[in-house]
This record gives sequence, C-alpha cells and structure tokens, in this order.
Amino acid sequence: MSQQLDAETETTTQTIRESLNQALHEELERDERVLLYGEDVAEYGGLYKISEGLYEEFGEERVFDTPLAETSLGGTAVGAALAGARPVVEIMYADFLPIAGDHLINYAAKMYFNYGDETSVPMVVRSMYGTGDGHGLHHGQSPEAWFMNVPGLKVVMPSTPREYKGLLKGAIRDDDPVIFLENKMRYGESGPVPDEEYTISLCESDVKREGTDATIVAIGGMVYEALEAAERLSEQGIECEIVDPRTISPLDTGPILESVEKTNILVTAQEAPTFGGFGSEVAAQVIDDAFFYLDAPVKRVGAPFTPIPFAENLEEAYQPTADDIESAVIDAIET
Amino acid sequence: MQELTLPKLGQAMEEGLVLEWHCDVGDELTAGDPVVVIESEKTSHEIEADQDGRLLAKRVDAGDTVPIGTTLGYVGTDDEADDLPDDSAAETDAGAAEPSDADASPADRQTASDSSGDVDREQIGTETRDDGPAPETIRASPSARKAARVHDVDVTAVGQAVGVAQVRPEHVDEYVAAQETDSGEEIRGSPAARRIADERGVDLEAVGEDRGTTRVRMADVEQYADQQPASIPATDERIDDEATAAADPSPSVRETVSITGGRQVMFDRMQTVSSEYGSTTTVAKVDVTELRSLLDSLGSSWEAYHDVSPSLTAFVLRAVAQELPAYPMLNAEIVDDDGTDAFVRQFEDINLGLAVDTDHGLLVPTIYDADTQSVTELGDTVSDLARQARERDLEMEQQQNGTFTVSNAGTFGAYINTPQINPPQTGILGVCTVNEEPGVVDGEVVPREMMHLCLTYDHRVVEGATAVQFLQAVKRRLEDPQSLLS
Repeated sequence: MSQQLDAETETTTQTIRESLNQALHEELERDERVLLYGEDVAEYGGLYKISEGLYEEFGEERVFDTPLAETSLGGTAVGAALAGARPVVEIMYADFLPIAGDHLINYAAKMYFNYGDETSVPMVVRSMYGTGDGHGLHHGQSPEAWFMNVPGLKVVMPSTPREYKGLLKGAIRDDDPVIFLENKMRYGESGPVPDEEYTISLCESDVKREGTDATIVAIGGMVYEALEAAERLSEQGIECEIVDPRTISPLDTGPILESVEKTNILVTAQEAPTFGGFGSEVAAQVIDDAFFYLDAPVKRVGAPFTPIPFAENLEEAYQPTADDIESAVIDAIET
Repeated sequence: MQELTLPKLGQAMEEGLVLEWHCDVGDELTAGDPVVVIESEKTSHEIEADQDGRLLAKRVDAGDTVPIGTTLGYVGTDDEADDLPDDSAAETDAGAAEPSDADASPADRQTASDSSGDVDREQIGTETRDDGPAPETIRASPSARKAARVHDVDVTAVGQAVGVAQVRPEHVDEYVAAQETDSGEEIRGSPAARRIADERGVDLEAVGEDRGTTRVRMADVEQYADQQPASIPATDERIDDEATAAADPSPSVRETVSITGGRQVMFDRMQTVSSEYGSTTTVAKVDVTELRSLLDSLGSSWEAYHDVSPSLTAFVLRAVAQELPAYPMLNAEIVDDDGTDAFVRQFEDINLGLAVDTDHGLLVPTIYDADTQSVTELGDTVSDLARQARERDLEMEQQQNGTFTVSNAGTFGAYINTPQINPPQTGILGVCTVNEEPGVVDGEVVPREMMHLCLTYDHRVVEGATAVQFLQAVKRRLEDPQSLLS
C-alpha cells in the first residue's frame, strides 16, 4: 500500500466525523486565511456535526452561517479565493451543488486558464452524498460524474478517516478549486488516524488491498463495500486487489493500470448510476491503455439509471453493495 | 438434408483443404458426429452432422483445396438420397476412364483396395437434378453485393451454394445463416488470451477446440500451452532472460522463425511422410553426354522458333511422363492412410508436380497431362509455371492434382540428393547435377557427362523391383535422347 501507515506512526482510532473536525480545526488554526462557512456550520456545528466547536473556537469572522442560498455560497467563495482567502464552503447535500454549479464550473474552474497569469482559486466545497437513509431523490445523490467532466475542478472522494483528514487538509492547501465529497452514511466509520500532523496529496490513487485475481476500483463509501466483498471472495479462493483513486478528477490511472495488468480483470464500484459514470471512464482508460491485459469484459457496479427511491425496500434494492461487487467479480471471472 | 459446405474460418480465408473424411458414403451418422475435417492456413475445423442419417455423397476428395462455400457433401436420410443435387464435377462411375474437362482431378484408373473398392466420389441414389449454376454465370444485385460485403462472403460462392444464377440479398442471408449453423460459434479469445497466445506461440482456435470453449480465456491458453511440448517458446524465454543469458552455455539465438504459409505446408507434409511413409531411395547414374550435345545442337534452332531454350529438365519430364504409365503404382496416391483400410488410387492422367524453390518457400506447380506434351511444350510449361511460382501468381488448381513429382536439386549443384515424397503421392524423382567424369566407351576411357537420378518411393506400396525398373527405364530414355523428341 503506497499510503500504508508506518508501523512506528502513533495513531488514534477516530471516526470520519472526528477526523474531519480535526482537519478543519488544524487548518483554521494553521492559516488565518482559511474560512469555513455554509448552512448551519457555525452555531449548530454542522448538520452532521462535522464543524462542532469550531465557531466557538475561531469566532464568527472565521466560521459563520449563511442563508439557504447555494448560488451565493459558490459566488462568494470564488470571490474570496480570488481576493486571497482560502474559503471552505459547505453545501449541505451534494444534490444542491448544481445550484452553485455556474460559479464552480464557469468561474472557479476557468480562472487559471482565463487569465494566464497564475491566478488561482484556492477554495474547497465540502458536500455530502450517500444513499441508504431514506432521504430519497434529493438528499443522497453521488455527483462525482457531474463534475469530473470539468477540467479545472478537482473532485475528491475519500474513504477512510485517515484519508478524510489528510485529503481535506491537502485540499485546503491546494491552489485549485476542489469539490470534496463526504459520504454522509459513513461519518461514523472509524479507523486509525496518525497523531502527528500530516496531509495527503490530491491526485494519487491508493491500493487498499492487494490481490492477484481481480481488480476492484472503488470510490468513496464503496471502498468499504469492496473490502467486504473481497473478504468474502477470499474465502472462495479469489484474491481481489482494491484500488481507491481518492481523487476522481484528475485521475491517477497508474495504479489502476498496474493492477489490471496483474489481475487481468476489472470491476468498478460507485454509488452513482453506472451510465456515464466514473466506472465508465475507468473502463475506457483501461481499455485504451491495458486492453491486451483484459481477460474478461469490464464489470461496472453502480446504481440503476433511475433516481434514488424513497421507499425503504426500493432504496435497498437500488443501493449497490458488497453483494453486487461480489457477483460482478464472479461474473467476470466466470464469463 | 444437410449440405456440408466449406465454412469461412477466418477473415482472410478464401479456400480450405479437405483434410479428412471421418466416414464413407453410406455410413450411418448421428447428429453431432464429426463428418469431415477441413483446414485453412491457420486452423483445422470439424464439420458435424446436424441430423441423423447417412453420408449421402462426398463432393470433394480428402486432400483437395476448394473455395469457401463449396459443397463438400450431403448428409440425410435414405429417402433424401433421391433428391441429391447432381454434381457435374464428380465422377459418378468409377469406370469412367476419360479425364473429364469439367473435372480437373486425375481420373481414377483402378482402385487397388482390399475389399470394398469404394471410391470417394461415389454417390448413393440414382435420380439427379441440375446443380447450381457455373461460377462464371452468377450475377448479383447491387444490394446483394452490399450484403455480401457486410458479411464478408463471396457472391459467387453464395450463388453456387444456394443454387441461383441471380444472387439477391435474401440469398446472402440464407448462405450466412447456413454457414453459421455449419461452423458453429466462432472461437474468440479475450484480449489477454490473445496476447498470451501470441507470446506463447499457440493458436487460439486450437486452444478453444482443445478446451471445448468458444470463449478462450488467458487460463485456457496457459493450460493448453503447458500441455504442449516446449519448443520455440522455450527458446524465446531464454532470450528474454538476460540475467541468465550470460551464464547460459547454450547458443545464443539470432532469430526465431515461425513456421507459417508454405513452410507450414512443408512442415506438415514432411512430418506425415517421415512418420507414416516407408520412404526408400534408389539411385541411377545417367550418361547425359548425348543429351547435352543434343541440347547444344538444338539450342539455336529452338530459340528461333520457341520462346524457351531446350532444357535438361524438359527432357527428364518427357522421359518420366512417357515411362510412368507402365508403372501405375508410382503414378498414384494413398487414400485413407490410417493403416487399416488404406488403398492406392492409381491414376490414368499423368500430372507431374515440379518442385520450385522460391523466396516464399517451396512450391510444387502441376504440369497437367504431361504425357501428351512434347519436349518443347514441356519446356514452355515449366518456364511459365516457374515464373508464376516466383511471382506468387499460381492459381490453386495449378498446385493441385499432381500424380508424381520431379524435383531438380541439380541446379543447386547437388551430387546425390534424395528427395522426399509429396504426400499422398507414392514417388518422387530427384534430378541431380551433371558432372564431367571418366567413362568407358568401347573399351576406352573418355570424358562423359554424368548425372544422378534419385527415385524415392513409398516402399509400403511400391515394390523395390518396380521402382528400380522405372528408374532404369527413365535412364534408358535419357541416354537415347532422340527417342524423346518424338
């Protein structure tokens, strides 16, 4: 694992929620240009309690609430970044990112290219996605594919507590606009987080599990599902390698290609509908660059091409899980 | 009734070799039984019966190469035997001794068989109807041509197979559908399987057939390749391993050459001959002094009236062609060579194969009816065929139907060169170089021009006496060259 923790590194078990809170705390403390604002992030501490205590610690100049107006959130962030701040904006639910989309797509992403004078837009838009809580059509969509087609935007989707923290700190220090997607269903996941100060660079894929028989490229919350599927498949004698890109765009394809060249089988896993999704792009990249290493059709695990259903049973059927990944790997191997 | 046609086994395939019939006309078949094995440049393929019944007819002999779509035979019930389409190209009567214009194959002279005396082109049933139109009369509508292009099939083949002179798109569909039924699902390999197959030098289709799958995976290739005796790939691996190369005392490899095309044909045939034939060679020393002086004296006058100079090869061919009819066992082929029901088919026609060395391998064009050609005609034919062979301009028919072969290694200076039989033939004559040697004429030692003739024959079917007598007869003709001018 390229990002394997050193054995000597002191770690503490934290939840993703805790690691994110710590990341924000550390960055607000480290750099006074860092601002945190959005709906209910200050006094309430964030709907999911990610920013709990930060308003009290850093005051309303640095951490403040805004009206329910995503367009303004996007526009003010671009302006603040251009003016020298490093804003961290929370858009409560990624479903509403398109409301700020014009500022993100047509301004934040374009400034550097438009002016050609090293103008940068160092802003982070934190936003929540994730299915499984009965929030239906508008509060759980995975928006990565909406934005990965926009050159100039970086799209980050961490999986573990350690990466949430390291990548958020990395995103805040990155000079480009970053959409930082948090899986709201996974805030409670816990794992080791280094005690010492660290950041994780964007645009580096990570191998989460080594294996020789099939490559699973999983993103965000699906990394956990992939790990579970890999354990079950291991009991059947199939050793899966799991690659977690962590940054969706720009994509670090190297580890993916290396893995497919080793295993000859590719399965992708995402929560979003498969059509036109991240998995499709990975499949295309692999077909382009490692075609003659593929020994089976590429299998993409994702949601059906329909909005997230409200009904609990339908949502359960809709949501891709370890079961789906497990059958996709077996399908590919037995095709 | 099932019409067995030659399927298209690959994009580049235009014709295929009928390698072996698994059964004889009249044999009972169950759906799924293999009937005939065909082979293209790259692969072999078994055609199975798709219904219960009997093999009603064979339209193409084992060993013949025919275009795709050609009807090979029919499988059906006894009742259907009456409805069998006529085969204008086939001999329905084994006694018909006259070589037919329509049939380029050598006519059967006699079948020396243990019991049944079955001849392949035999056909059950008496009533016949007109066969499909001749290839040159087949026309196709533009839409049919387009459909044929889409399916990568030949409209002429479609017309012949479907039996229409005017090919329409629906005929193409019918033909393609029939082909798919006949040839089963195409064997495909995964990209990785293709890469590994390439690296390990194995044929994907062979892997698929061996493993019983139409979807070849990497593991299939590896398991198949592991079963094969290590040969060329083993050498390749050695080159790759540079670390051990320095310590490895075995010779370093300059190049590994794949065995394909003409070389593959040579490889296969010589494999057959060396493992199955009882090849023996007898040598005669021929005094060609008179023949050489005759060639010299004819030289200028021939060149004035013919395009070619008189050649020793033409005289040898003439001598062979004139003597061969008296030795039918040498103008023959071995059929069903599995050692049990084998028989020899002796030919009426004298079709001499002439081994020609070219940049693209050894080719053996055929001189049809060599016994009816004069020395000048033979010289013309040899010159044309050799040029066509070098220019890769030989039609398939010009490389088939040989009944005996002549190989001239003398042009390269061979003193004694034992040629190898071109299966399924029974004999081959090797012509060696001419050397000036002391000879005895009327009790005096004088310089003579001498040449070896080496006859290799299949001793399983040709008696030693027969072979020696034939060779001596050829020697006598060459030593009396005037006799060959008649």
